[in-house]
Amino acid sequence: MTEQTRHYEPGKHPDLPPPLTEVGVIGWLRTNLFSSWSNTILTLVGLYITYLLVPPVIKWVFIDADWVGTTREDCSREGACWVFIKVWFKQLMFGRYPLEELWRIYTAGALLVAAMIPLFIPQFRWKHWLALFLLIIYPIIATYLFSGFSADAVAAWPYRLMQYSALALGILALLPLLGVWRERSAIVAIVLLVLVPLWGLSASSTWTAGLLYGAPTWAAVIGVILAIGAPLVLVAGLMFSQWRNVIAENYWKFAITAAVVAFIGFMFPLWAWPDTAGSSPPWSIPLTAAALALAAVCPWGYDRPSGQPAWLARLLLPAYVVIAYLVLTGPPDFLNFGGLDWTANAKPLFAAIKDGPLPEVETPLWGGLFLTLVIALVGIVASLPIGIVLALGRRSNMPIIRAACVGFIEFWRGVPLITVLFMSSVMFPLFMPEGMTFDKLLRALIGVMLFSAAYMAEVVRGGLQAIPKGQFEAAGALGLSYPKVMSFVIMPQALKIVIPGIVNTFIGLFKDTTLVLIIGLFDFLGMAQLAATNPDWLGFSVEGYVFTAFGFWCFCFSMSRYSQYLERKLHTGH
Amino acid sequence: MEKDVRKPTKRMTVSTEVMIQMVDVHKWYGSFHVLKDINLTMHKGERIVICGPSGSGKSTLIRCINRLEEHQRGQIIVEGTELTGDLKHVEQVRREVGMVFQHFNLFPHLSVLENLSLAPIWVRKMPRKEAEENAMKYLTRVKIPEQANKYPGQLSGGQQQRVAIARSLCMNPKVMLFDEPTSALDPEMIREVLDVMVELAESGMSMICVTHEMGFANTVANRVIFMDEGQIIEENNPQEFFNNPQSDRTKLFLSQILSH
Repeated sequence: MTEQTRHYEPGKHPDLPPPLTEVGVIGWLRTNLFSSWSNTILTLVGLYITYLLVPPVIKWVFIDADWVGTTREDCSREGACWVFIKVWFKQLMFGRYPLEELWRIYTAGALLVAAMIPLFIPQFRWKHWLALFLLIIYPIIATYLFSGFSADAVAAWPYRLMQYSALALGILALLPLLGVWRERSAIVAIVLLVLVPLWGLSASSTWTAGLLYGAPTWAAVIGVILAIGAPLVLVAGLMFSQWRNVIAENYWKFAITAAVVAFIGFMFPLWAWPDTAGSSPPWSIPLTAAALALAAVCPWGYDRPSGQPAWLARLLLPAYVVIAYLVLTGPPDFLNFGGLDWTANAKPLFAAIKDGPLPEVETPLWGGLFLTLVIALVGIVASLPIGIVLALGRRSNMPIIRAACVGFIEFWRGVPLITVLFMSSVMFPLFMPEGMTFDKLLRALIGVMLFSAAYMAEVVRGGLQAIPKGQFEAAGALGLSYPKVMSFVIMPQALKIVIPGIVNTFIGLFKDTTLVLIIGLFDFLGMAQLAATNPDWLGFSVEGYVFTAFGFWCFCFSMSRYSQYLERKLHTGH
Repeated sequence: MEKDVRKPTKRMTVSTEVMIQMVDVHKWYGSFHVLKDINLTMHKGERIVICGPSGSGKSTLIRCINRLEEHQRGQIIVEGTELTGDLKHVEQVRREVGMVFQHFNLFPHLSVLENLSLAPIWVRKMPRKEAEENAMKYLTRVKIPEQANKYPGQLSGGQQQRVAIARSLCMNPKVMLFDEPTSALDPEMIREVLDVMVELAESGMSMICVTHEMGFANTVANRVIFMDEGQIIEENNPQEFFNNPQSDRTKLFLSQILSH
């Protein structure tokens, strides 16, 4: 009796090894290639087709190809002319972006990669902050690096910053009145998060202008200390000390103070060099006085819980005021050791920044793979949150919100992307008031963003519908509010379910960016086509297409692989 | 089903403090009148078991207490807070009222420990470390501290339901609602969940429990409520309820579920 056929007592049967034909190479071949007569025939036919296709392709791409040279005369062999790609490589990558400014793209790219790496390290603990940096601060840096500042923007930027920050502060300060975010300290934190980077920007250009163009260094140093130091002290002191409670209870007073301090910071370059822009705005003196008075008075408005030390809180803003005053008027004689002529040294600030550190590179010069990545990344990053909000809105109980979201989604999904791009580029400017212009790329970006957000919304909604009602109930029954139920319980599960759909949309979006060709933007593919129509390089469009196809495939395939990795990683056995 | 599985435990003194008050509560699903004129007062420390045939509205009743279902008429006051459309009131009530569901409803994407610490961290603003220690304390109480880092999908039904009970307890609720906690379990796992519930009852927790476990009702309840067709038919202490049911409907029901 062999091992395989022996009989055992009930309950004593051991595990036996499987038959040899089920495992190993032979087993694999049998089950996958030759499991039946028809499959054997299919396998042989498949092998024959592979034989017909693969060797010629390899021959064209590698063996018979021309790799070395600089002109089309170097391409004499039968296969592909990769010299064409080599010669046009910079254009394929960056379009007509000025070569001497390419370091700006490299820097932004390197920064992006450097900031992304820790996100993939499981042990890294500050992922949330890094993500916040990537989503909020990095785009500002990248925009500045990519486009620099136009002369008009430079002249206007202190005002712009002021307007935007005032707008942001106003919105944030209103939120608790609307019943959103009753957590006041969260608002304060966000106010500060918005202010500090803006402030840093303001400081950095004051600094560069001062250093590069011989404006008084003394003032530049103080300007930087004020603009970066004071808010940082505020942040540290107010967020991490016992004052936190004070802020929480007086958030609106704090918001006003923050706004006033911000205002001073943004106006600082104007005040510090009163005569620089020709003349100082006539309203700057009374406004300064009012702002300083407010800033000085505000801390006394805080109703502190008893026993909280407040001397630093009281000291901080008056100190700020004194320093600001000193800088405004110049140091008094007994402090002016170098005997500097305060005003004579000041050079026109705006003129200085105008030819400043980073000259503008207009968006029509952007192109190639760089442009493709800009459009795709902006679309991808923006479409997910917008899509989530739309998906939640579509499931809302409130009929107006629901109708608005349904209308939005159905409109954008029902229109071809080409139409969207064409409308944004050709029709949209017709509806704008005289003299008001938007950048063409910006318009295309917004179009792509809204278009993909509508698709994303439906993908996310699919995920939401797959979550059992019990999850909403259990989370709600624990006392979690709607936003918390959504962000901690429902969304993580819903998004995990629809990872394939989300990545599908991302890949679609990535490839759809090639349609910007229609509005005269030359992305990766557009650049390849342009190169192939160059009179010196006619007849090499196949190489161009193969190369761009390979480029697109690399990006899309890595997205696909990453999504599969995520799915495996997030699988928790249910 | 077996009766008198254990000796009735010592009856805890029930305080006169009112925890839940339902006055003339009515509810409709569309045109279907599912709760009719419900009047119920629950005092602190009381352990109420609600039973009745399926479709009698017993689940709906306890789901109205934390407003998973809205009532259309009458008043429900929990811990002095009336349940209205005001979300603040609803969240306030839900913080103090724990609920255990028939199908556990654990969060499958979070580990057991994260399931337990989520609400204390985000609702009670407990520091993470403290919330996790708290979670371990309750996991030990339901006798599965060793499962803390597993995911719900890796646990048996009985273990999942015990985790669900611990999750509610982590919020330190004043009342616990149980909505047929053992109905979805394999027979061999019912015991372990009931043990935890009995232990909880003996510790003085106020609870309302919808269940078909008459043994459990007899052991721990100090009031049994029988519902049929959206109405409270009969309400009594367990001895009287099981040994001397008043209405014919109750007698029929008891004979059906106790006959095998």
